[in-house]
Amino acid sequence: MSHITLVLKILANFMRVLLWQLLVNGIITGSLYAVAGVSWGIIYRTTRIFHFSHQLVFSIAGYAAALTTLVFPFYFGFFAAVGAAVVLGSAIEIFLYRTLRRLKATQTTTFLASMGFATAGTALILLFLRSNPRALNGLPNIMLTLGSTNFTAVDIVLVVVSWAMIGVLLFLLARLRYGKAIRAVGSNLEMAKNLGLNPERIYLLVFMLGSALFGAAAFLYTARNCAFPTMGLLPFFMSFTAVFLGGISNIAGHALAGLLLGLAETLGMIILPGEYRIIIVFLILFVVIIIRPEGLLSAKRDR
Amino acid sequence: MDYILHILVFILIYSSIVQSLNLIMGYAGVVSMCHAIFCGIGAYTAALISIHLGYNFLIGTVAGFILAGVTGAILALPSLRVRDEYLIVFTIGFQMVMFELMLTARRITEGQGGITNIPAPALLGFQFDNPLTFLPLALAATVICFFISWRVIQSPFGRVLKAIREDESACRALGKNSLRFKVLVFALGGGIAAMGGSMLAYYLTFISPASFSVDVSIFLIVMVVMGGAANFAGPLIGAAILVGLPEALRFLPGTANIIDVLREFLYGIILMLFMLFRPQGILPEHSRRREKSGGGFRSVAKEVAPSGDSSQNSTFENDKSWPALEVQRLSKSFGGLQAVKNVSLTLPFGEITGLIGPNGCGKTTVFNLISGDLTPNRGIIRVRGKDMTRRPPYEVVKNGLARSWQDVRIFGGMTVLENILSARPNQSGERLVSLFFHPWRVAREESANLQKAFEYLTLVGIVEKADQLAGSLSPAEQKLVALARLLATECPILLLDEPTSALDLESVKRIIELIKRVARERRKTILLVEHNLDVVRGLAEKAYFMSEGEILACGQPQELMADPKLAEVYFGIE
Repeated sequence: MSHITLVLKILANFMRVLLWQLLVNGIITGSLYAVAGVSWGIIYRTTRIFHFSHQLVFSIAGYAAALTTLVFPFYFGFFAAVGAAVVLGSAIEIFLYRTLRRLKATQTTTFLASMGFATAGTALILLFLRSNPRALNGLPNIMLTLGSTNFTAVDIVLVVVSWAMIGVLLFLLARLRYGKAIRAVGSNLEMAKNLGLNPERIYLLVFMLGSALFGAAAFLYTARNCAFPTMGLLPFFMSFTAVFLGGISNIAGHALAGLLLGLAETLGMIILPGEYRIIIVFLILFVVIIIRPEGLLSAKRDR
Repeated sequence: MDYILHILVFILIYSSIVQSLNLIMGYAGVVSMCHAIFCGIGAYTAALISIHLGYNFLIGTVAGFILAGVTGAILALPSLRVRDEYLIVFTIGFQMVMFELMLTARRITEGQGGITNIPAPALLGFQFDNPLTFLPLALAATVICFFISWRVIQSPFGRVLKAIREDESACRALGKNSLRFKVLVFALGGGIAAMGGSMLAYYLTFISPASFSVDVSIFLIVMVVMGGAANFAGPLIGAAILVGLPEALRFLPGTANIIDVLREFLYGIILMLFMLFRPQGILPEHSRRREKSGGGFRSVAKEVAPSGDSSQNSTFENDKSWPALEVQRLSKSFGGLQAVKNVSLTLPFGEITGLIGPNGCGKTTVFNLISGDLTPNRGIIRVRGKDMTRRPPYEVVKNGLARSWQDVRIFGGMTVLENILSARPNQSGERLVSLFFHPWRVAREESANLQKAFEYLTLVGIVEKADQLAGSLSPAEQKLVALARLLATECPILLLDEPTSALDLESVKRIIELIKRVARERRKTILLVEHNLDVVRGLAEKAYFMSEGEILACGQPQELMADPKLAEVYFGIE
């Protein structure tokens, strides 16, 4: 009899430890997805472009960070990643999307063109840098323990920086003149034009902001894992999933939905093997969209 | 020689897969990012059935077709509630999930390595086990796929698909349940793609997840776009060029690995450049030759004698014991704004009633509520005595009430004739089963509908433009097309939203005469929203005056306009 209680006790203890560890991991990945969601969401909400090339921005930023740290100290990688992301993101807006708008391209055409650019760009990375993964160089490896859970200093930095960036962005959108202009262009383009706002400038600003956030996320991701040619695909998938899950117009909703996705993905490992975690994310999206098409965290509105 | 045959087989198989995607993307205008998965479902089903059960390849192919068809239908279901962008999201998600499953469900799919030693197909003791013998089989499969696609594209079903692509809500306002068509086209497209996938499995006798990755889905989209979306021959061109091109690359020096990467790069660049400089593809949907000629239809048009009294209405009987339309205490608010407050209306049979009021007073909202495009917060709507509150637009139309739009909303990328034909009620050609099993009935109905369509075009006076693209017409002509399309629904109750707005005086006169004639000769009940008060005076016996979401008064138009209080509201005179 006492044997059984002992086994149960050990099992319960093990489960508790596992649960805490999964929770911590969920918050870490969730923070990354939150930034991803906000970065794609602010672009989609304002321009209505299904920005497929966002994944290429992520990959390029990750490689920029990894390659920079070969020569410079690791924190230079952060600036390299953000810089590369902003340059690429604005270049895509200026050279591709502006041209498409001038040609009166439909939303689908723009989406497909963006997809073509991302495919070609990923192939170029493969061609020049090959498929072998590259880690950040010179990163201090500090392991931390809290209670029964383990994580690294990088994880803490990731969580803190992610939510700090989201907070700053939300603050800017709410308070700054430009933030209000962004919201105006996103919700009613005609009205914004009548108020004398130049949507082209706002669009560029939004692409710079979104790309900078995603670039920073790419640095943090590379610091935790490594850079590889298709590294942008999963964060990109999570970014638009978070946007549609949270409700298109609600930036804070994108962040919370991203966190939720990260938690669901890791906590889902309790019931399903790790390889199947993306299935959980997809099922959540499928069910939520059917039950609440306007998104989880959006006020219910009429069409 | 074998090498050339091998490439030919590949081109044939891919062209049928691309044709199936063309149905979804080109005709229905919905992007599917998971088409490779449909192929994969076909390929894996065929392979597993042949290996484990030893059944004939035909059974494997059919099983794959059914499985992929059901999958496609389920995937398209959420479009019931949401817009098309969500379908992009779903299909990318589905692609990633299924790809992951192919890699990890090793007990079934044997993971990354894939399934080998799939038995070559055999029929009546004949083995299709090399490129030469497989070529006829691939050809037969491709012909079947192309025949199914052709039958669908040329039919009323295909016409509705194009209407959905052009303007989904206008299509619903013609009595079409657009969800049904989207679900069916996903099922059919998925099924045909699975057929191609199983051919691939039987030909190569080996399949692995790499053949069904997201890159392959993108590759298929590139083929559709390059060949020409919504062009029947486009997929052949797209597949021939894009399957042939990498084969030509193989003769360049370099390792196979680099060539694969180079191919990816080329696909991406081709897709981007085509979207920038030739979004219609190599073979566009409407060739310029056809737009110019226009001789073909004129002969048909002459045969149709405009019959004066075709008022016999088989679809709807006018049961006079109920008012045509009865609206009671209808209310609707958007957020904090109450757009419509306690609106009650009655339309007696066979009369023209006006709805007037200043800009933004909620007239169009009332229309949207009655037609089912919006759902009211409170109130009752009865059409010919039947409760139609909170019913979707296509059911309201089936019950005999159709509406027009202020911004015409004709299907610009379709011909004028197609616009009218798509509005005809009860077409059995809109059902896939009838399309393939009752072809004669479909053909008979189609010629009757064609006759009716020409009759309406003659009535509004634009029969000579029948084969032109509706989008290329002048605004006045577009209004006439919209009116003819509305009449073609055969609905006895019509809601006209500003039929004369933004037109010159001559066209306004012409449209007023038309509406008068239609109401008299065809005994239509009409509710008219109009800014031009002269138009209302000329047409309506009775009018409702609306302001700030409420009905203020009801009476003869002249009386209403003579009322100084109402004039003050209308013109804002202080």
